[in-house]
Amino acid sequence: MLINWWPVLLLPLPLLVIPLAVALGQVVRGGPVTVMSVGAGLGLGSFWLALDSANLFPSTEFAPAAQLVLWIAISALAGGVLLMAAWAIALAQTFRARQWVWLALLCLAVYFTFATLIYFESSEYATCLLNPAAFSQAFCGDINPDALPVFVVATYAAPVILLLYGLVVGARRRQPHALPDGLTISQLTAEER
Amino acid sequence: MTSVWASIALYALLPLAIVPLVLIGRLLPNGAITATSGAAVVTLSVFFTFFNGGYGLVSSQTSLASVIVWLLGLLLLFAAWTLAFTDAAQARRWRWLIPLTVTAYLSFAALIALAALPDPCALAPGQPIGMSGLQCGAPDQTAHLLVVIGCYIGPLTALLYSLRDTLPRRQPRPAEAAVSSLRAEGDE
Repeated sequence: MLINWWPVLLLPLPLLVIPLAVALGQVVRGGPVTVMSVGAGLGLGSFWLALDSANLFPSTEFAPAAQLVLWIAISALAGGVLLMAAWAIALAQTFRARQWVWLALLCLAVYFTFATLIYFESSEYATCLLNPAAFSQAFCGDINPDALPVFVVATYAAPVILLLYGLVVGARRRQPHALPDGLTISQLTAEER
Repeated sequence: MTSVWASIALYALLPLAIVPLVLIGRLLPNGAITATSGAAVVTLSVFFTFFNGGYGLVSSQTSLASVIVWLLGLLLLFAAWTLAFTDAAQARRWRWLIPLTVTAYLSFAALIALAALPDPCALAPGQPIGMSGLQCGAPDQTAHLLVVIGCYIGPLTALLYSLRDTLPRRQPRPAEAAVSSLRAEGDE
């Protein structure tokens, strides 16, 4: 057998955060979308923190520690997986409830976040932007530090919009329907029963 | 530089591929799950049929289109599984949770095996590989079968879950009813 099965079987393991998030979502206000968007935000934050001190392209300047590479991979994978899951659930909910404004907002936010993540994972720009003093000008080229807030906002656009959606829509769903005028709710006493 | 931005813009569009499917799903029973899992099965079939899926994505013959179709299959499988799992958990259909999770896990593993095979010859019978035109030997049929079954098992389980109420099923007999053969009674 020429296939090395261990990495193949280990790589999908971060996907198991989804059942965990769904289970937590049963007890949290806003449901699974809220839990997953918070998890995605934490995962992406961890990814940024790790990028701050690592160079993803070891052949160019220095080789990062294996643990750091593992941290970056797990953070990006868990963050991306949770983001995608929250996106799929929120999308189905917006269509079912015909919330077209939310749908447009979610599509835009998800597009910008994924574009930013793909850009950061396919170039050395993030490493240089976060840690310009550590690398040579020859390696990084011209970096505009003013672009940092734009990239941070774009990275967090989708988790934040999904979190807002989860909280707003989840809270609306749990609100009791208003009773008609003149009706009140009271507890049955033992005698009335 | 323009091509870099163009490819980033293209890849970032992939997560939006589920938008039209969820829209189509409004016309189907248990819509979004049926549409995404069905689309995942179709995408995987396209990958295996037209993009030489048995090759994996490691050979020099890998095209941009094959990578995009593979990614699309992965995303659709992921969306179908997430929607099915969440629906099953919210409706407290506990007996579906384990089959959905196990089959999705196997499918992801099979899709990763396709993309990350260390040796392209593992699944490519009699094909010239790489610049040197290396000729692959006898194919590993077991590995090939495992990977193909693994790829399909996840989306098919999600599809089965979404269509469970439309499938014909045997009605249970009333408590006092019994079944006996007419012929046996007639013979007597």
